[in-house]
Amino acid sequence: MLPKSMRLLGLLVLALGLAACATKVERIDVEEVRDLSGNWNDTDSRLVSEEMIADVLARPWLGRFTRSHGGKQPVVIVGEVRNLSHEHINVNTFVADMERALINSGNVEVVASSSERGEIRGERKDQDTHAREDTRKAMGQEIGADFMLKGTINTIVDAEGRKQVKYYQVDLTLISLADNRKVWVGQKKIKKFVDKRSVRF
Amino acid sequence: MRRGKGLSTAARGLCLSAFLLLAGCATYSQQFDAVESQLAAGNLQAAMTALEKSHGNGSRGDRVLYLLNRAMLLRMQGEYRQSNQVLEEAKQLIDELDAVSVSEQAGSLTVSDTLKSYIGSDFERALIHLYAALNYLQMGMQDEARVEVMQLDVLLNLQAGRNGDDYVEDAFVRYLSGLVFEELGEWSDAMIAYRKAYRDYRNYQRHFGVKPPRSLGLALLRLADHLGLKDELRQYREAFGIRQWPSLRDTQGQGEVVVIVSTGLAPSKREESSTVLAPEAGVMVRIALPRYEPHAQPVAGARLLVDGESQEAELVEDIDALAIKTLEAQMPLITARAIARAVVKYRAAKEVGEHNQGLGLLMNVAGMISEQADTRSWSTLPQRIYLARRLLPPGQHDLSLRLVGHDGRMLAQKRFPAVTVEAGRKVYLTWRWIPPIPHGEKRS
Repeated sequence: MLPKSMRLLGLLVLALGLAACATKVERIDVEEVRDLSGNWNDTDSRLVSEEMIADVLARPWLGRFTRSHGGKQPVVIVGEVRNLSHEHINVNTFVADMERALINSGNVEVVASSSERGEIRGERKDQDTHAREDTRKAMGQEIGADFMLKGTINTIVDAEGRKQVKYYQVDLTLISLADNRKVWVGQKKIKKFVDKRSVRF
Repeated sequence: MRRGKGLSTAARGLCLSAFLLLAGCATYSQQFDAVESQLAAGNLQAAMTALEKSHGNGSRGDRVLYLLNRAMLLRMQGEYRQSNQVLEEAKQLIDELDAVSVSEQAGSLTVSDTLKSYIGSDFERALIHLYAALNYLQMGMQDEARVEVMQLDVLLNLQAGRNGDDYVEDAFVRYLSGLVFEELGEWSDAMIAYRKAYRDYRNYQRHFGVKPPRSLGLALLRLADHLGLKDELRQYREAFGIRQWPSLRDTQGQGEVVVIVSTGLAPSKREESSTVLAPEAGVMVRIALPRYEPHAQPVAGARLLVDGESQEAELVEDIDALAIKTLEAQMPLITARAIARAVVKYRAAKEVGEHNQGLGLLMNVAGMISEQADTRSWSTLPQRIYLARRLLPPGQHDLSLRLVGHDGRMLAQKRFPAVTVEAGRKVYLTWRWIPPIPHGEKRS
């Protein structure tokens, strides 16, 4: 039989091992910054949407439109935000933030994008056949947008060995649907230095 | 310690278990034979099951290879989205394992190379992005394919920087990059990619005899013309011997069908033992080295038939040759490590043997058993890739592909009925054909 000290040591090692075996979940604040792999993460998306929202509502295009259209609020539709970067980035996170901020400001109206209105039009068509007369929504009553929100994400990557410098540039533009003028361009630049570990156990 | 009275019971027990282990010690590629034979028989589902069974629960060091093979089998089943998910997992794991591991280095210097994590050879890592891009293209997601092409560019630049002058960059991946850029209307980027592909194909021609494809020549001429690069235009006209070509404007009103035919399976590595003289120790040691064994290659050519017109699908990638060349470049290092390892084992056994003869013998045997060559490679890659590009007016077209053997007779045929072609867009059609010849049989 092993001496007492050995048994205690064995129990201790076993306890430690078992503790490391359980999955740990720790809820963290949405605003907390945790960069794990160096790739595009939620912090980047949040930085982009904060900058864009602050910028879009503060520029003269809004006032100019309202004045020249007799107090009418501009209507915006979200177009394509192209990912021209090195990573498979989900652009919907900050685009949705933009939409929300625009609507909540009370000064801009947003209509459904082309990918969303397919279902809505289908529902409207269904209402034509199945809904009660007085609750039917007529076809052809959609509001035409005044501006389309488009954008791109571009990256420049400089890599050597296990070190990388990643530069992201997100550009969002508001284009007038009446005459193709670009009335607003928002830009956010993010630069990261990622030093991946070159030795592991 | 008893001396000279034979082995103690413990030592005898160890000896027995050692020999039992020896009986079950197949190399990685031998374990993969089950999957290969299912593929040769055309049973994709059975091949997937075989892969899960033999490698599904392997060690972390082998997991990358399992994921790559699984992704390829999913792609062959047409599950492009799932295939890409598995490839993403593989990419992340490779990134983690790319760091030099202290324990693995120690293991490879004392036991065997198979203890090191396998993260794919240079061309295999490039082909990960190729297949991810193709998956996206076949799902109609051009922008996502472009992301893969961008990642590929970063990877290839890193590899070029890391390797010396004898580095052979994968030409086909550059060619596909050009295709992706061209479809998205990014002419300058497409030109750069095609230019690099041309440089790489000339390299291929020098080493493996794979010529720069004519379709690449047409693309280079088309873009050089559009971008106003007169000197380059002249250079390509001479190099390819093409006098006339459809200009960029000619192609705008039409669509293009890009047909990619992949045949066979990539070569497997087999183990080859040899006895060499270790210079510093002055003893003869037995080492096991990996060697690529290509499968039989029955395909002489591929032809595409569209609307009654036939054209040749050109050979754009010879993975047999590429793999063999890549291994050749690594051989000096692998051999040196194997010899050093054998000397370490020999010395350890000798020292132990001086104290206890039985244990010394045991260490010798253990050393011999553990000497396994690293036979890991991405075997579900194809052996050869053929490509044909064809401009077609918008509408529906019937296509068929034909593979021809060395005797001129047709090996296999595949029809693509009612393919919809849109103006300014490319349609990617792929066909993977594995000859029904089990591995091990000699070339005909």
